[in-house]
Amino acid sequence: MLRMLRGFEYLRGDSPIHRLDPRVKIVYSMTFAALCFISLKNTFLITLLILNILVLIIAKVIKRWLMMLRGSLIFLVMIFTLNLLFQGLANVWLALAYTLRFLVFMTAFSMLFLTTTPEDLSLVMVKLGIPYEYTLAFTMAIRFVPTLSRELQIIIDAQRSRGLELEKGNFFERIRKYMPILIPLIVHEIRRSYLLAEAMESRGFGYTRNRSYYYEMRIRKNDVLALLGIISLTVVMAFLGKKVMWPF
Amino acid sequence: MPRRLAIEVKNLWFKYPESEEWVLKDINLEIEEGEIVAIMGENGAGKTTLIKHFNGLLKPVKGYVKVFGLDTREHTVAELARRVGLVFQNPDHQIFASTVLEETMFALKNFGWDLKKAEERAVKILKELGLYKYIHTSPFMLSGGEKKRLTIASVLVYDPDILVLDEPTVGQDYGQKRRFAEIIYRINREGKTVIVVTHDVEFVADYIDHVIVMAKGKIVAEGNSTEVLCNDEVMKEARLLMPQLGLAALMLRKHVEFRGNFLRLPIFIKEVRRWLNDA
Repeated sequence: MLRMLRGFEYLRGDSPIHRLDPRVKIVYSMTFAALCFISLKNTFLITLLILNILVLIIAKVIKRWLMMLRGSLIFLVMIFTLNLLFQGLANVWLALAYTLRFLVFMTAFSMLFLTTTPEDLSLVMVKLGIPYEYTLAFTMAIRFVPTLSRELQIIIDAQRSRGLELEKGNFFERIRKYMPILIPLIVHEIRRSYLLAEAMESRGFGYTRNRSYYYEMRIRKNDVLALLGIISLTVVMAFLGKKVMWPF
Repeated sequence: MPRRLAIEVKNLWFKYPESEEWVLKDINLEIEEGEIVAIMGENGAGKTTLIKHFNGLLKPVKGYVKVFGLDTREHTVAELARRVGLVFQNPDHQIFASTVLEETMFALKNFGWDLKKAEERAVKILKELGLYKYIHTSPFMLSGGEKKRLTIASVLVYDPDILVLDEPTVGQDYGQKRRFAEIIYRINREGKTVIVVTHDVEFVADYIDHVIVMAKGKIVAEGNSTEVLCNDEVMKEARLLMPQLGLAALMLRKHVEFRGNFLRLPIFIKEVRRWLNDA
């Protein structure tokens, strides 16, 4: 589960994809996420997945994506099995298509989050007219994912050191065993949020509504080229997928 | 008669699965039963990673760790935890129960103790650590020092042979530090092995004789604390500050000419400490 989340955590790096304007990357993720709802043909979805993987390779984040894939394996298997159960065994290809759709959807957004800093994402939201307080909440939620997962691990270690065995017992017993882990985590995080709020207010947060920003986003030549590439690819894929001209 | 080995670490190498970098590099270590040992080093030296091997939370990538002869690779954390009590640095990472008594009884319930006996035992330990008056209070209402003592109580309660304390003195005032020292000595008098992880040089200089110094995942020095902590090179490598007495002695030596043995820093410090105690 935690490993899956790591596929949505910004990974510092330098690649043509990292340098793209975040707005272009958002367009990319949105269009690819939308494209996977056009057709349920496995070959179409696999082509989308391969295109996504190529982008991840260019962005040099493929290792992290593979880590996410390992973490999300249980969900993929679950989607496949449930579909198989409800659609009938004859529809095995359909079950596979739903699983692939989920994977393509995740991969498209994973690329965005892996290569774009939370600050850049929040800047885009501010440009879209969302109040800064809300975008900040979003940025901080992302920023605290690794901290939270680290803390969760420490708490699990501390309770296991006192003899807690999470892997033993039936389903309900196991859920009950998570209480000694969830309570310290929640209490700790609430305390931290108070401290954080105080620290931010001490540095003048909320003093004025007209705040200024250190970075200004600018569309460059590469961004225009990438955008043109995305649009043409989307048109071609949408046309092929929709018109059932998909050759396989 | 030679004492039994409480902990034996042989050629231990460790790295986290998602990382390429070795966090522990070829650690060799022997701690005898009934010893008090301090493990020191700067942040990121690998101290906490090392002690997590003692109760099997982490397993060696290469080499082995044995606790009273038990190979940690072949035993679960719950099995090893009965012998090695690990007290984590931040009490907020473990406190969850609604009363101090329940928090103390948590481990005993996990180990399947009879409830009545568990309560008797918890009450005894809470009395010993001066927390009995809070027995029905929420542990979240305790002060920092009290919370820390509660975490020690919640481990001591199941009577482990080895007690490992991770940074017990961080953020504590002088009075609390003295109290921790008293607790450590008392546990030790009962024949238990105590391992203290810290970068509090003064605390070690004042209370603990045997010290192990780590830097960048390796052990860089081991021995008598006065000898090791006054070794300028070791302290620089481990990025630790020499105890004040040592620094004072170094300054004195720069300006005053001493003869013979007096030139050796540890001996000088021993002498000064003797004068201070006599005074």
